[in-house]
Amino acid sequence: MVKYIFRRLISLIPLLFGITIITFMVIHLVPGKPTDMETQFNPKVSLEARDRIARLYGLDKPLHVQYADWLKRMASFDFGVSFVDSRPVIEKIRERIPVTLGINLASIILILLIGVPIGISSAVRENSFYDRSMTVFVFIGFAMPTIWLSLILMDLIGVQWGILPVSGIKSLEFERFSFLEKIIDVSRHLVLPVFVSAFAGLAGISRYMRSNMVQVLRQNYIRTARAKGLSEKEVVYKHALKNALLPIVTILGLSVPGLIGGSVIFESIFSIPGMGRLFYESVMARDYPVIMGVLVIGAALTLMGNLLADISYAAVDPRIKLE
Amino acid sequence: MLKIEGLRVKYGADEVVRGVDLAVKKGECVGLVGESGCGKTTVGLSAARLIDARKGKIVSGKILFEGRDILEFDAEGLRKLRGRRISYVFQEPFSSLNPVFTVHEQLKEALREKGKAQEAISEILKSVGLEKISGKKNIYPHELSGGMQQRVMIAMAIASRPDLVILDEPTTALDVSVQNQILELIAELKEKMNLSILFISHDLRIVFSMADRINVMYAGRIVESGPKKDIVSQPRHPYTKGLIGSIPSLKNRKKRFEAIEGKTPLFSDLPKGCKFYPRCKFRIEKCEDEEPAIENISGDHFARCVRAKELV
Ligand SMILES: Nc1ncnc2c1ncn2[C@@H]1O[C@H](COP(=O)(O)OP(=O)(O)OP(=O)(O)O)[C@@H](O)[C@H]1O
Ligand code: SF4
Ligand SMILES: [Mg+2]
Repeated sequence: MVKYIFRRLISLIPLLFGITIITFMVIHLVPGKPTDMETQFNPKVSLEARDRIARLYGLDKPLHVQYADWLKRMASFDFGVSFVDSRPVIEKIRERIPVTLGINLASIILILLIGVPIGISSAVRENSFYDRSMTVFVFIGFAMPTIWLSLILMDLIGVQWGILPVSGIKSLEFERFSFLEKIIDVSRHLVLPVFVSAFAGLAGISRYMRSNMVQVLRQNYIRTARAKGLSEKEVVYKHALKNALLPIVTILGLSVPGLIGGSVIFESIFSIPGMGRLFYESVMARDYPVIMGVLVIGAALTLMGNLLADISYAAVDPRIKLE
Repeated sequence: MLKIEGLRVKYGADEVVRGVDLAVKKGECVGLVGESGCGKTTVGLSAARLIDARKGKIVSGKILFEGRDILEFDAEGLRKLRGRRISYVFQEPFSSLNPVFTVHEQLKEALREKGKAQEAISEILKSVGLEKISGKKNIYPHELSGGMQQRVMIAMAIASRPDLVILDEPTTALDVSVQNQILELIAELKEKMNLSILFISHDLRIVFSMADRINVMYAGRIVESGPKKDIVSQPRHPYTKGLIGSIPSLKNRKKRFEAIEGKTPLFSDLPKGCKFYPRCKFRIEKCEDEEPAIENISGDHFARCVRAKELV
């Protein structure tokens, strides 16, 4: 087992290597330069000044040399400093990551708590009115653009009814709050973002759960369970459920990239200072070191998610042994 | 013990069991034999009310278990019936065991009394010849061979000391060498526990070795039924004759055994008269228009053929 994990981790290195080459090339090929922000809209900055800044950042060198430089620094876990504010990239990411992880974790839990029961109950009542209604309901969530839903909710709940705050994660008076008030304040800010991201993800898990369950309920061993004289409850919630839940473990591990992508969108909408917004801002500013830093962390999380999916699947399914 | 009367079952538009009568008496082993797809499993499943409601439906008939019609049972009544009174051994042992629960756990569920489960389970495993795993708690089905899996299925079926066991092709999925061991085990358990058995198989040879009474099924109906000795010595229905003729036995080893010619008809397109007409060597004009009724030949021997009495 330990050997297996070690081998998998080693095999991730070339993969990460490849990912960074491609992303490095792509972001440098995108039109626009980091120096634009500082120079283009400032008539006082001369062309020479612009070149000087470019030289300072090493942007005048050929792309492969720039990549080699970047890689050399990465080898010692030096992510470099931001072009925008000269702060270390790793520090910028470290302060942004907890919010993003927190929101995504909360939203995954919410998705599981709602999606799994919807899936099960739909499968048990396959093709009934309830099943069809649930299908429609979750697909509305799936099809509704996040931005549109967010704006509607912000307008209704935040602006018109004034029940919840609509942007950021802290109130202005945050520092004066007691500990308990702080927790409540942050939670109130996170309700809408978590709801929005969960609503969009609900369709995936509930449909997946439903189709697993429908398939499992057709298996011969379910008939065996009935033939033994078990109650319908035991048949569904013991014999079928365990089999239907197993693949969900994998799906969770594989959902990391989707979550990262989603974070970029809803963090921008709700002005949440997380990784997603950091990525958005740094792309806009062509802040290459930060972009690369976020991407590397994102890629590492994704690959870890895959590994975790495989390990936990082997842990719950007796038929699978990791070699 | 079990008495099925006029059972009709439909899958979608196809009526695949078209009026079956069948009885199993206390301590008796009754064989149900016929080619693949003739409806044997459907009859067996009906007898334990295990037809998947999404696919099939019992249209009419009665299934009397100790005189009570189980078609009228509610969910709770059925739950008490299944396992405890009627148990089932399925055609494919591998897919019939839940892959994510241990053998131990699955056997435990089948026990009637949950107290002293550990001892009871070892005892049952021993009685089906699984001494090797009787002490191990963490064995999963996939770690066992096909024969051992079927022994587990049998153990599960007898764990609650049922009165009737339905064995649906219990050896079809197994190697020939294992088949005989399983059949011996079944015969032994039947004696020891005084079980009544409904034994389903497409293999007449196996049914001959196990059953006291034999029912031959063709295209959703019983075409011949009687005590084993009558069926063996004087089969009356041309289909039964064909089945016997196709057994590669000592007697006709020299003349190559002959399979029945032609294919089983589709349920969506059955012949109008005798369903065996297109394949029958003895057919006469009369057979084409009207399906013959089942008639008494002698004693307890019945056949569904207009020429049954003359074909000795
Ligand atoms: N779940 C189902 N849905 C639709 N049709 C079915 C279903 N199960 C069986 N049938 C059809 O009903 C007929 C009888 O099937 P059944 O399984 O009872 O036959 P069988 O005699 O047990 O055959 P085998 O020897 O293959 O087990 C077959 O023609 C089959 O195609
Ligand atoms: S009724 Fe006619 S066709 Fe049918 S089995 Fe008898 S002889 Fe053959
Ligand atoms: Mg069958």
